[in-house]
Formats: sequence, C-alpha cells, structure tokens
Amino acid sequence: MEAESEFKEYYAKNMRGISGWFKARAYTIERWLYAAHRITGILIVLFVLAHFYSTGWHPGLWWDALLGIIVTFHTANGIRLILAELGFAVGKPLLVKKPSQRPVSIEGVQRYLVVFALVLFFVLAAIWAYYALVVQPMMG
Amino acid sequence: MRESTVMFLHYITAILIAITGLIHLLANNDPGIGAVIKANSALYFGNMAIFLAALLYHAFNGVRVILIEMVPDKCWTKWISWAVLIVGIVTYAVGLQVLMVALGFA
Repeated sequence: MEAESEFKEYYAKNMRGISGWFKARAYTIERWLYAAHRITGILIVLFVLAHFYSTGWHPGLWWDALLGIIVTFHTANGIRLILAELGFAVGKPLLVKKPSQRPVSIEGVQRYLVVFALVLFFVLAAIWAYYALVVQPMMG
Repeated sequence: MRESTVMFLHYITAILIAITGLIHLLANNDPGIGAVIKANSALYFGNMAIFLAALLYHAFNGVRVILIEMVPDKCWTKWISWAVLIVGIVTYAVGLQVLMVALGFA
C-alpha cells in the first residue's frame, strides 16, 4: 500500500511534463496516437487563432493540404476516442495469465477501432488534399 | 462545474464541430454545394454561430486541460480555468461581431 501511494504522489506531480507525452516505448500504438492527438490539437488552435485574427486566413495550396492532414487526423482519432469513451468496440477485459501478456488493445476488439480510425484518416485526408490542390486553384 | 461534465461537453462539442465544420468547409470550397448552403444566409449564420461556440469551447478546454496537467496545483487550476473561460467568452463576442459583418447582418 505504501508503495502505491508513493507511486500516485509521484505521478500527481507530473515530473516528466511535456516529455512524458512522448514516452511511448513499451506502450501500445494508442500511446503514439495520444501524442499525435495533442500535437495536432495544439497546431489546430494556432491555425484557428490566425484564421480569426486575420479573418479567413489560410496558409495556401500545399500548406492547406498539410493542414488537412492535421485536422483530419484529429477528427478521425477523436471519433475513435468518443467511441471508446461510450464503450463501443472496447471488448471484454482479458484475464492476465502471465506478466508478458500484452495489453487488451493489442489482443482485443479495440485493435479494429485503431484500424478504423487510421483508414478514416487516410480517406478524409485524401478528400481534403483533392479540394486543396485541385478544386481551390480552379476556384481562384 | 464538475470535471466529468466539462469533459462530456468536450465530446459533445467535438461532434458539433465535425458537423458544422463540414458545412463550413463545403460552403467555402465546393462551388456547387457551397452555393446551395449560402443561399440562406440566416441559416448559414446560425451554423457559423454554433461552429464558433463549439470550436472555442473545445479549443480552450483542450488548452486548459494541457495547462492544468503541466501545473498540477489546486490554486493554479482554479485561476487557469477562470482565465480561459473569460478569454473564451470575449473571443466569442468579438467573433460573433466579425461573423455578422462578414455575412451582412450588421
């Protein structure tokens, strides 16, 4: 018990700070998605502030396509997070039989949720890039 | 407000942003669908007002969550939350004005 409360106290201080976001080794792919979700979120806030300050500002052409990658990733991963929050495709908790057993998101149904989010991300990013690189230049 | 309520609203606004944001993107980037959407400027203004509110809540709450995680202290959490709330409300007021001018309501 003593060790557990010390553990909690250590993590409550958040000693790692921002570098803790990238401590993804030995974790599942969701850990990388979490870090990317935060980075893309911050980048979107920066874009939105510029978009407000100079109303309707856009970075233009290829940068717009890059913006699309950032926004569509945040959207697709956000849909995955909401589905997981509501309990969809989370799967039953696995009985841990041995210390080497991998976490539930690798062996359980949650794996499909990650695949779904990544596929959705690629599709949405492709549609956005089409509009940014083909449709917008035609509109002038 | 309880932290669980704040985060529940975070997810609700996320869904609102996905819907109203898609309408905003189509209105400005698809010549065909855009003309249909912008035909009724009052409805489009309503869409943008909801979009702006949801986006500001979601963005500022996201920043707040990161900040209070960086500074895990009860007193700081309180002040950060109030500061973010006030800045958010002021930004919404200014943004609504800009929208009204841009869409021809003022």
